[in-house]
Amino acid sequence: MKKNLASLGITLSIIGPGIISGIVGNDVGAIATFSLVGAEFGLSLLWIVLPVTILLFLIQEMTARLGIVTGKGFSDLIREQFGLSISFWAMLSLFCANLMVTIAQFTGILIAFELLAVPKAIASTLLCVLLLFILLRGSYKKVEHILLLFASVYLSYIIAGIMISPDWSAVGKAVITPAFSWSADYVAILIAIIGTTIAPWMQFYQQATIVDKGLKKENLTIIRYDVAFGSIAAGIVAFFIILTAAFTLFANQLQFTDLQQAAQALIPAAGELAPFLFATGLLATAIMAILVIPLSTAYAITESFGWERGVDKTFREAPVFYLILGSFIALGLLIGFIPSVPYLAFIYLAQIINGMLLPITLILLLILVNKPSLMGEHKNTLAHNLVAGSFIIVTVLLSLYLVLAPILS
Amino acid sequence: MLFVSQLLNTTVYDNQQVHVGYITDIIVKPSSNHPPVVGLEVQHKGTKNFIKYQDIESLGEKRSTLNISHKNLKTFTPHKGDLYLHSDLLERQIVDTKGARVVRVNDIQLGKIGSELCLMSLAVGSNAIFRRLGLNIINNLLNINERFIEWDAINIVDAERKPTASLQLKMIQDDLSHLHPADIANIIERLNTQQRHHIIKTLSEYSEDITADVLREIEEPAKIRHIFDSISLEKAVHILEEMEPDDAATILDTLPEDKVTELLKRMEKKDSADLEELLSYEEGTAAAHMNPNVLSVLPDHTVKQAIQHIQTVSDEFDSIYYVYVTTKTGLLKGVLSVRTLLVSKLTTKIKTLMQPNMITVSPDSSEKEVILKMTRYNLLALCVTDEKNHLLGTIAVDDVLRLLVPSA
Repeated sequence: MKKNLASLGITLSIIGPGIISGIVGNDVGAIATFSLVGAEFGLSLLWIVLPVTILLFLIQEMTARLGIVTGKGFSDLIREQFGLSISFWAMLSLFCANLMVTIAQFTGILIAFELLAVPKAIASTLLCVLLLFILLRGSYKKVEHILLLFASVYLSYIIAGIMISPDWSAVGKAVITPAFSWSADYVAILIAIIGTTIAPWMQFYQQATIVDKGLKKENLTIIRYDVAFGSIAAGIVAFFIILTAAFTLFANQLQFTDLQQAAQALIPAAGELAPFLFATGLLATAIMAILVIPLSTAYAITESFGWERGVDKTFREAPVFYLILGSFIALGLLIGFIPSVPYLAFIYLAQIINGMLLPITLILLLILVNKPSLMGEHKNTLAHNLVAGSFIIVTVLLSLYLVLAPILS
Repeated sequence: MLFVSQLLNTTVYDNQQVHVGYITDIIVKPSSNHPPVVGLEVQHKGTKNFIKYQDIESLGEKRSTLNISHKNLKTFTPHKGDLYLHSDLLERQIVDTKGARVVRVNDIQLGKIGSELCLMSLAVGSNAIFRRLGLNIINNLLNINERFIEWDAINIVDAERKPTASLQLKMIQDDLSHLHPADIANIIERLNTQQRHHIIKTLSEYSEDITADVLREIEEPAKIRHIFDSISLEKAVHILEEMEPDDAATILDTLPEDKVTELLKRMEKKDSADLEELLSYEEGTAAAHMNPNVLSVLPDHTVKQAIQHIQTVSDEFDSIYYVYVTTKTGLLKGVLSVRTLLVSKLTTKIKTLMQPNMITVSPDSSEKEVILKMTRYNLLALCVTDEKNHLLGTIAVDDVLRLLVPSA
């Protein structure tokens, strides 16, 4: 049998998890959040893109390293090292965070259909059927290759960002000028930014994929590049979304209450096709996330508790696995049938919840990646711990502030 | 009956009711089907002590008592091969060979055998999960009963204290090797990287035959690659030589170029030649699935001679469905079934028994065509011939079944 691109195939089979996490990470939630950032705060929050991208890299690198050195998945390790109780809480928070994020994707699909003037109910039902089909027929891994193709959709944001001819000197200044305020709005959006860029599902997905590919310590360097590319890609897209929203919505003092506005606002600057491109982007990212996140959650939870899993099993053989998958898709579909749900607010809330639940899995990650018995010479350096640790503390403080401030005032 | 989860983190008092610490682990000696408890690991203010089983007065769900004073606690050092139930076994994924699957240890049941407290069985079902989380209500509501598996049906493959080589060999011999290769393959595919490495290594040293059979059943290319990383080149070569060429070719296809070259270099000339030929065919064609080793007899042979020939070469074939009749130059003349050979008189000439009208495919026929012909004509094996009707190889039905149901 001729080796059709076999070697290339093997290399491609190693690269991927980091890039995919970064790309799928720029989902509906990211588009909504960063549009909000640009619309409400203009360029003043642009400075956050660089630090949050670096943090994304650090955290994803830790999970990648953990997966490569131990050869085990994140939820597997949590169960083994921390026991059943902690596993339960970790899985519960993962389930909640991921469910919110998935439902957010479905609202994104509804918004996209509205922009494309397609009747919502029928279209989204058809889409669900298609997605279920792909999930149950195709394998977890084959999906990856399709996703990498979808990634080209993100170029449209970069193009839009350039087409609106922003004031680049103002942009440059904003990138390096940090600004901070204790207002609830500000803190909330910070948490949302954190939650949308560094979502808990990314850690589980990436490590699971790495273990699946059976990557070894020799691959550590190449995986670091993969994670770096993914993080940079995520950062660039975030940057351009904020930019675009800042110069179209904020500049014109437009109130931002739903995502369709972000699309419409692009027209004067980027032309009539803008809403169409925007909708396609929204649709593509939503589909990608729906193909990745529910499956990843089902695998993580069933792995943790030792229940049967895999799309090659029947429902009878792996009931919990399919129930988790099913509930994600069903609840996502359901949101389309509940009238007058404020989509944008819901998506925003999902990101905040992500941000607040993030410290749970991060603390567990940090402990694991510091254990000499697990990591040997690959455990964290002091620098790693200081940066990651401070980040966790900051996120927890911000979350506490957000929750307690209205009560205490 | 006591569960390990009920003992962990409970307090231990000495014979004067002085607080000694709390239980962090239970140590057993894996010497038999029901490993006896040899000691406890107890933590007190940051230091860990080991307490001998003999010094324990009673073990209970809320508290345990010793029969000696805390002043007389002698340190006890566990042996190298001893098993720590909490850190090595509880919460871990293990192989249940009797069930041919990978399960997670949700709890461990201890019970008395004579005067010893022993590991009775492992709880791998959901009942233990809900019970430990304080949600026994769910067990009652949904009628979830516990699932137990026996210790001797279990294989731990990795732990912070690595199992000794002899323990691993024992478990391969006693348990794993009795399973159907397809079940072993299923288990191996579900293990994590390290576990897979250990099992494959031990299995390949125990039996190359079984390893070859298991390898044939592994689906994912990535897993096949890991397996080859876990065995030495020598072993890999032997294992590949054990297989039929088409199976070996399928496996080589998933390996990187340089590895394939290395392996082919070390093989016997005949085997490597066959493989190189198969590897040169386009993927997805009939030729890609064929076995170039053909069981053939001459038209002028008698039944007796044919049977004798088959007996001498039968080792080379995993399964024999048909016997092909070819000339000395390899021209296909006909086919007869093993059944025909068995029921015919020994002196009959093959050419009178054979079926001359042959269903064949060319080497570049599609897989679809192969499946079609086999189904339409109810064939267990299909011939691959060139334009001049030379027999190049045969495709067996089990190779083709896999194409129809890839996820099985």
